[in-house]
Amino acid sequence: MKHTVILRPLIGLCLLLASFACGGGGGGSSSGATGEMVIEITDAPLDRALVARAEIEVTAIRVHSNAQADTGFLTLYSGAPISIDLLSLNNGLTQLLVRADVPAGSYRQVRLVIDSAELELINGNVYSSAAGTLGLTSTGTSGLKIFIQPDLVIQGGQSRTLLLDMDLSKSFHPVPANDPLNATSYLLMPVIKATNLSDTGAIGGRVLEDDGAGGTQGVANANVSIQPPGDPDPANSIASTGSLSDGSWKVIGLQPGTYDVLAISGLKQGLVPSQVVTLGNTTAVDVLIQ
Amino acid sequence: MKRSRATPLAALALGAALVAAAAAFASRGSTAAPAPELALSSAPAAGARALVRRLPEPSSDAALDVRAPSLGSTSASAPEAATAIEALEQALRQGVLDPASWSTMVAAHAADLEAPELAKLAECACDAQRELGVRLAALELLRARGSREAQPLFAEFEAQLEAAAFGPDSKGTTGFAAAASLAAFGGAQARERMLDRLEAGADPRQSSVCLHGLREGADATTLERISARMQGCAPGAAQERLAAAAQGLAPRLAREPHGAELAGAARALIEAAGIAQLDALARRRLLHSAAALGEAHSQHALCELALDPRVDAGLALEAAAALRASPVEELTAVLEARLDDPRLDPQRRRELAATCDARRGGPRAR
Repeated sequence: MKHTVILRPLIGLCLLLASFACGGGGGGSSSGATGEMVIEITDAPLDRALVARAEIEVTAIRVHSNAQADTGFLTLYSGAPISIDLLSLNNGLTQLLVRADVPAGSYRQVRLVIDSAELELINGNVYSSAAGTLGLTSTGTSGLKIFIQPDLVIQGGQSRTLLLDMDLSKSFHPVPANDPLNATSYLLMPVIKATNLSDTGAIGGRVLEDDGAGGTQGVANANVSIQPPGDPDPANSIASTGSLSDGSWKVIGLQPGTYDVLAISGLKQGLVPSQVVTLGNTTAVDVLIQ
Repeated sequence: MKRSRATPLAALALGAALVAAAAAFASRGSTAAPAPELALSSAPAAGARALVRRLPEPSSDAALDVRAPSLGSTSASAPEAATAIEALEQALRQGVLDPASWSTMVAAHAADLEAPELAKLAECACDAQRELGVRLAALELLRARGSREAQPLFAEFEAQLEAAAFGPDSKGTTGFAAAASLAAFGGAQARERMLDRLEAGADPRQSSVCLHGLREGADATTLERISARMQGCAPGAAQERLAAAAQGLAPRLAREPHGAELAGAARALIEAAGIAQLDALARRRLLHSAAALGEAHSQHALCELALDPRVDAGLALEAAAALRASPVEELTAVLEARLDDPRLDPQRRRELAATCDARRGGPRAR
């Protein structure tokens, strides 16, 4: 899979698209006013101890004001595959998918058409949709349905950014399930959260461990999960990401509220409970694992 | 007794049929064929204004195209209860959605529905002839629309939900959904049993399901029940789990319109946080819960806890930190003004200043 888009935080490559009057079911209002909708994507990787590379290709992006709709979409992009390297979208980095003028109104649904995907594990095993070893659940459909909740409200002359957060840890399913490194195939059932970046905050810090000399050191490739208060099960996480080589991590696009932060690396783990995320701010949280 | 409580639902369902029939008739003439798709299309690297052009309609998602004839058909321009129920029921059957994704899906579908469609949901939820998944989907949509008070459950359905949430065959998305509906529509005793399970903590999955259910479906009285339980609960993990349930629920309640009940809940939480034998993390969670309610009394009470020199220093510092969770924007200015209070010891002043900084997103020169 070739990379067609440069990865950069919040800028990437952007499209300047024509404004147009509202029409069809995709539009949010009939006032004729338009605002700008920007869609970016980030991820939350599954255990980095297993994954060397994870890429998907998106060929169409559509939106609708109605969460139930199956027709009448507003197509923001349709064309050459946009290649997305999910492992590189980390630590608050996002990739711009599309920038478009859309009719003012509320939007509740995004359809993402994923045409191909490839997953490489650290043992060199490669699974791909082209080879038939990576199944795409949305093949032959009008796209993967992603709900925007709360609505993305776009007013005339304003710009809003919709963040699509793909949780790899919940999206790639090995078959058989009990041996991910030696699975015969994988199934891609993308878990993607859509949030309005304007209404969110972030949380970030470092994953640390005892360095054996009375201090601490950063832990690379730890899985960091943002958990509902009191729930330590990563399967129920609200969002997740992986730490970088210096142990740093960041999760963006979180609704203001209080969360527990869970970090796991191998057999070590640490939990920092009751961390408050406020609108537009980044809460600093270091997690010591042991 | 439970049957008599269910009367409003049955009555609503009867009315629902009439309203729905009228609405369906009225909308029939205006239901247009799916609108042609307007498209904007360009390669991402093109960097130029693209032309507006029409694209062929994508193939329909066959998996989402299951209709329940008895509930009517659907169109993109007229969202219907039937479509929402079918989509949710299918997700329940697949069972792979995590609780957060399920809640998002339910809320998105519920937001589309017009008032007459809500009546259809009530009709569907109380129809014992339908499968549990269909009834649960309808109930979850009603919950997401805040219709909880008007929809008490029949005893049999309540038992079914409890089994789906906590029975030996409980699994996947259905367990979480059933717990949320049980907390929202079940009787007070059902919520007490959920708190019992959470306090006992015998099974981590059941605890997760309880936390989700209470977070999504419970009401302000549950916060008071949690506070009351703190007194008799053994210090440690059980207290912490109960306090976590309060912490999950409080921000949700703060987003909904409420009357005086939040004041009572906030008072109870703050009182419980003062229990001497309380687990430290449980205390923190309770204070954060009170702050997250955003209710005037609780903000004031927490400020006083943080400032009053007679209050135990540990509790005061936790109260100061908890104010970070308050959704009341004006509170930052109020706290700033109190930083010069001569009663403040240096440690409390530092904590309050840190709270102000956290609420503002950065330090201010002082």
